[in-house]
Amino acid sequence: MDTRTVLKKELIKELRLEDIGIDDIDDAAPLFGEGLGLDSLDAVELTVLLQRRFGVIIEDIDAARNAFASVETLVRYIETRKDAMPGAGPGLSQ
Amino acid sequence: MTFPVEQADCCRIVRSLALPVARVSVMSAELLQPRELPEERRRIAAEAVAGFFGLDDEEAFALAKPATYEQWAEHICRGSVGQGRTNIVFCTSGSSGPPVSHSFTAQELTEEAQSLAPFFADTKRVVSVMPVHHIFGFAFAVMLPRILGIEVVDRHPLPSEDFFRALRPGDLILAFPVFWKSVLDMCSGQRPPLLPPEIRGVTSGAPCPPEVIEGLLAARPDGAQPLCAGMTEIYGATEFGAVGIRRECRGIYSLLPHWRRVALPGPEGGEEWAIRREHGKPLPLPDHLAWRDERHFEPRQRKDKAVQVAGINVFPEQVAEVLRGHPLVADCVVRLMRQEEGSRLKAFVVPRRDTIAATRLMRELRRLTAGLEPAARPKSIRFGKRLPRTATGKAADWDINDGDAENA
Repeated sequence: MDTRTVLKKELIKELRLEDIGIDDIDDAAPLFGEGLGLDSLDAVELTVLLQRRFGVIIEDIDAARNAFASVETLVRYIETRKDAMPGAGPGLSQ
Repeated sequence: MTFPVEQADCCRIVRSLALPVARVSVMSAELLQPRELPEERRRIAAEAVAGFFGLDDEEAFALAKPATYEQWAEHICRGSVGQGRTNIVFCTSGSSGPPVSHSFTAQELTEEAQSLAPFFADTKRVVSVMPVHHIFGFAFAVMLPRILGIEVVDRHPLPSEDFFRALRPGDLILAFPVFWKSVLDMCSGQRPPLLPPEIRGVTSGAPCPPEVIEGLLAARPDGAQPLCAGMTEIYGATEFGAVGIRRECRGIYSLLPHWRRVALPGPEGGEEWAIRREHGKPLPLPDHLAWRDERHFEPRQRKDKAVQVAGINVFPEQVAEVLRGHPLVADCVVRLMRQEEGSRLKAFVVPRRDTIAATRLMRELRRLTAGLEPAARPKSIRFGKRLPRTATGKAADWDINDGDAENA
């Protein structure tokens, strides 16, 4: 399963988007506010999801702002970060 | 006396108060300066700042002029706040119903910090993810560091690399339960560890699930140090500030030294316990407490039926009223999720018969609750033909993953 599909499945499951199916999620739609309707409390859960499921830790709030814009930006962020942290389990390089 | 508020702290508070209307975009910590804000948003930010610092009309008027946050802080500190002559006003969130303000004198806030200080005497640095205009953020990230003469670092409440990198061995982290749970979830079993050694934590704003605290303090399976060397829970409320403290998970709370227990006349000739400061009037507590003795207690349920989501008091019944306002909702009930389900509100809705499809009703209910603040929005909405009841007819809980509930 590709990152996009896994991510959508995880978003639905972990963030309890119970009225939405994978096909309903528009790759370009905003995750927060309009679109998927996530809120600031979901941002913390989304950060945990990325680390637990994809081994990617969000760098900082600015990175989160860009990455959390849509499924498309989030997939790009996951793939870029995974490449930057090979085998990265989520420890931090000091 | 540790007042007046210093200009650097004042600037942190001003920025924190302005955040809801001045952030560059959703999820951003970057703020537009007052002079960059449209007039209406600048007015809202200025009112929040003037209200917090109890500014008089003349002082508040000056904030309406386009400026920077630094200039606002300088202006505030030149006036009554800088001379310690004003009260600081903390507001409840207003998540359901109008926000309520609670005013504290400089002396009360100083006494509270002095009361907390001995418990944290060996702290070298505080790292806080609590907003500094929140009563506990102010106590632990403004007043306490000042009394102890230690550094404080503010971080956005997101468990990001930036947050973990900011930590040093021995730091005291001030956070709220949802954040602690995220730290536990992210740190469990990770190598190298995300947390440096000897981290201690403070949690406040809402009851922290004991499983989270025990997880943070537990020895790691590979023999490594626990994630945290200690956790302190603070019991309190916006109208009181910190009231009690405990360092043993599931233990009893000790009343902080600046409070005394007093008896008030209760119903049917009995007595009710309240608390008061040394020279203050008795204040009834928002919760039912089980007192072990004069200075030790266990909190029970809240008197006003509020529950806490991410440190914010929300009122499930008021949220249910909002849902019942939809013409196609016959009845509903709103509750806090069980620990294993999450930490948000959940709703069970009984639609009127022969109405619209469940997905459409769900969308409309989501739209209806979008006007509530995030903590008050039900994260899970389930439909059924009747509200969940036990065999004896009492209101029952429901499982948000239970497929048995009949969809509309």
